[in-house]
Amino acid sequence: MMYKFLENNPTQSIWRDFDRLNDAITRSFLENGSASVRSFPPLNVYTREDEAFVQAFLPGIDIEDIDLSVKDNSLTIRGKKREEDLSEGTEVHVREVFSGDFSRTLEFPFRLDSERVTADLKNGVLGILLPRAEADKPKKIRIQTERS
Amino acid sequence: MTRNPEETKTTEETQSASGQNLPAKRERILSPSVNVYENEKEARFVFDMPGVQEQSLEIGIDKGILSVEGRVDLPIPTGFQKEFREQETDLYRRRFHLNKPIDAEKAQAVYTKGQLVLTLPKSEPQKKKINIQMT
Repeated sequence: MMYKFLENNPTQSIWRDFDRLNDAITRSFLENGSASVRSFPPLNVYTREDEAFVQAFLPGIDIEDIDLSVKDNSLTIRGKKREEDLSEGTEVHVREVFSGDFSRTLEFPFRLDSERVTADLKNGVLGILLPRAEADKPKKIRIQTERS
Repeated sequence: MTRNPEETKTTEETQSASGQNLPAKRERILSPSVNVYENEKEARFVFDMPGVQEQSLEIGIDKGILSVEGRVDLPIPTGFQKEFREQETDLYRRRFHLNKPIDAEKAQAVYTKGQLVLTLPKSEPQKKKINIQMT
């Protein structure tokens, strides 16, 4: 891992590595010859010190078909988007909407507090709040002075 | 398989008080992915439009053209900064040419789970009997 806690502005450098890591992960999804042309679901990531907010776009998917899991410093969004049941004799003119199984993993530059992760689904957008694990935060160390 | 939705940007310029040209808000318009089905009775359109403010949805049928528009409303918790965004959209917009007559009065639209589902019943072909007058 490429943590750079020793730099002057730790927050900024953490997120720079995050970008590189996620580019690599996205690319590896595509290179593995996955059927979908684009990664699904599309993701927007916002950050604050010690916290991340992720929006995943999952239109037409029920909560029970979405699986969210958090482990160490990664978040995995997995699930399936069902194809519509069509009655007999229905012609399909256009089919652009993604359907099928999907799985995407995001790696963060810090360990996540799985107990405090919250998520809500509204109008097809899953909003996930991911706080940093307390144990992962740098702790100030008090220097003891020598007694004479 | 998904097709890359088209994304277009429009920029409007406004004049500031000092007379300088300022780029005003850039509107990011995305053409939503759609599935279109048809059977004897009706045509059905399913648009992927997650995050739309329901009141902003505009659906119109005019001269055989169906147009759909919806404005995105996705608040972010305060204090957060953008890190990376794969879907930055302000507005969804798409138009279709309908090649069969539609009964617009009976059309139904439902926005659920971030999808807009439009059901457009087909019009009955008008049958008319013409009486021939004999002179």
